[in-house]
Amino acid sequence: MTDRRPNPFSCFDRRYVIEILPSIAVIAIALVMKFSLPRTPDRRLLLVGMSAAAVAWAFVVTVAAIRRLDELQQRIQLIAIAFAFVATGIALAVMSFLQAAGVSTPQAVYGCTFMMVVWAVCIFVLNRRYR
Amino acid sequence: MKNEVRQLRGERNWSQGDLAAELEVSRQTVNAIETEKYDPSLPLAFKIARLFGKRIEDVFDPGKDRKSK
Repeated sequence: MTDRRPNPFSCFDRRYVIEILPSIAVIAIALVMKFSLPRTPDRRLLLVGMSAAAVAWAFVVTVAAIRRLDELQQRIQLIAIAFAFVATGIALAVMSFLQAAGVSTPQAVYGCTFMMVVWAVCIFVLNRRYR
Repeated sequence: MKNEVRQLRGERNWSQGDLAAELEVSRQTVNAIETEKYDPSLPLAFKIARLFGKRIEDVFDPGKDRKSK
């Protein structure tokens, strides 16, 4: 992809936003249906199916956006994702040790948020390095 | 890796953006190659060499330290 803008998150361009909008819309509809309609087994299955399809589409769109990047940006993404993955693994391991020792720690569900923050910081730092 | 990309580009009065457009990469990638912060892939290195009408070894020099590794 030819992108002359000095944007560290250039893979998340207008095309990506447009492509991922259906996923966000489907998840929003599923949430509204979950809380506004009575729960039946069929409806529950429908909601799960809708959410799974939306997440799968978001995954496909995100991978496609990264594939559109040029080789340097792909390298930056790879390093950032690898670094975020390892940092999250270490953080979760430390948290489990602390929990075993009786120390109060954040819930493991925040691991995903932590991973995204580390990824974003890595992208920013690496883009400065290769600027 | 040492390279002659900046010099070759300068001889043709191309901007980094012009070269980036020819190579279908970002301007950031061209700048990173010129400042030797990033070594291009083999396909991109060949593309650069062909664009300038040179052999790949005339554009890129791995240096003595790299050869021994």
